[in-house]
Amino acid sequence: MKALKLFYCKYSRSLLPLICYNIITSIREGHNVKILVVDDSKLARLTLIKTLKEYEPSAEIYEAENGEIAVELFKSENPRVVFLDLTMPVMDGYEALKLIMEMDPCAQVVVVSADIQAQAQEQVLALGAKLMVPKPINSDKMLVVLQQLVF
Amino acid sequence: MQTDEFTGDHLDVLKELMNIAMGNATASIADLLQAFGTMHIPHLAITDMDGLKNYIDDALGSYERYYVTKQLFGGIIGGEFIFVMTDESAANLGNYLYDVSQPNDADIMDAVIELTNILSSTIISRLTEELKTKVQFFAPSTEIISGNLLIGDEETLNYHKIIIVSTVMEFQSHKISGQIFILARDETIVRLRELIDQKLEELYA
Repeated sequence: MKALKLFYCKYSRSLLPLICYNIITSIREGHNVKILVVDDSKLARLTLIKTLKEYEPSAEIYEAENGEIAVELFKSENPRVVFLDLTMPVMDGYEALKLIMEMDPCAQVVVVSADIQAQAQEQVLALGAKLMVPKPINSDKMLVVLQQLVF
Repeated sequence: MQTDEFTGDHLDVLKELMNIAMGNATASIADLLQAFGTMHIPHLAITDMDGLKNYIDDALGSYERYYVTKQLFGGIIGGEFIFVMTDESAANLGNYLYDVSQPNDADIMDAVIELTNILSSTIISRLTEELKTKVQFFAPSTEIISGNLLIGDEETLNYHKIIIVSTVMEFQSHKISGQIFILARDETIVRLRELIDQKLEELYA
């Protein structure tokens, strides 16, 4: 049984009425968590969604092929987790991450990128990303990611 | 469908694999230069020799002198890796790697070859690793040429239908950048398509 808790968000400095549970547990208990997958490559989105579905078969997945669409979907759907690529046309992941964090400082954004430079990681973590994972994502990496998405 | 035909899915897969390979290469060069590299979206085109010449003219512009390093690779898939730097970028690279304000031509040439070796081996190795195959590398050669002479008679004879994978390596803080072109030969296009089909089958399984 899940406990309803008030969640203190250190960024907005307020108590928010969030249900406190980790994503894996919530899925097992039948909740459809909204997850946004953002990548300009269809292959990358398919790969990520396939590995995600291994652990969260009933997740409600939204897809975006660039940062601009991602920001719009984040605004309208308020997903619990965003998997975000960095190198994309129209609006890149850095800009999208910045806008998403401005909209919701508690957003859980996992950057999944081919850019494995230490400075890229520092930059996205400074912008508010929760984690950065090198591409290509696989089952092992996904499990580690999901285990860390705990409120 | 002809065996050498590429669908949008094939191109998307190749582009994404190139993106992953370029990410690895950028990180290696970032270590060498102790700087942050900006990643660019790879471009892909399937064309003939005339199309290749037009593509390279468009990509390189009207700059006069380029350091061009070419490296052949072969195996299940084969082709040519071409790395192009303006002489200004090459001088900046020589300047940084040799830590001298006026590097001589031999230093610059050596620095360009070193950089290209890292780029080509990292990119092609990662690309082939993702496609579950292997290639052999041949010794690279560097020369200084003008842009419109980039594609010589040898390439004209070797290539008919070509896949061009191109992207940019850019380290703004050091004013070092370069264009990368990977040319795949006729038979490689068929092999690449088969390897990508295997990858897609695994994905959809």
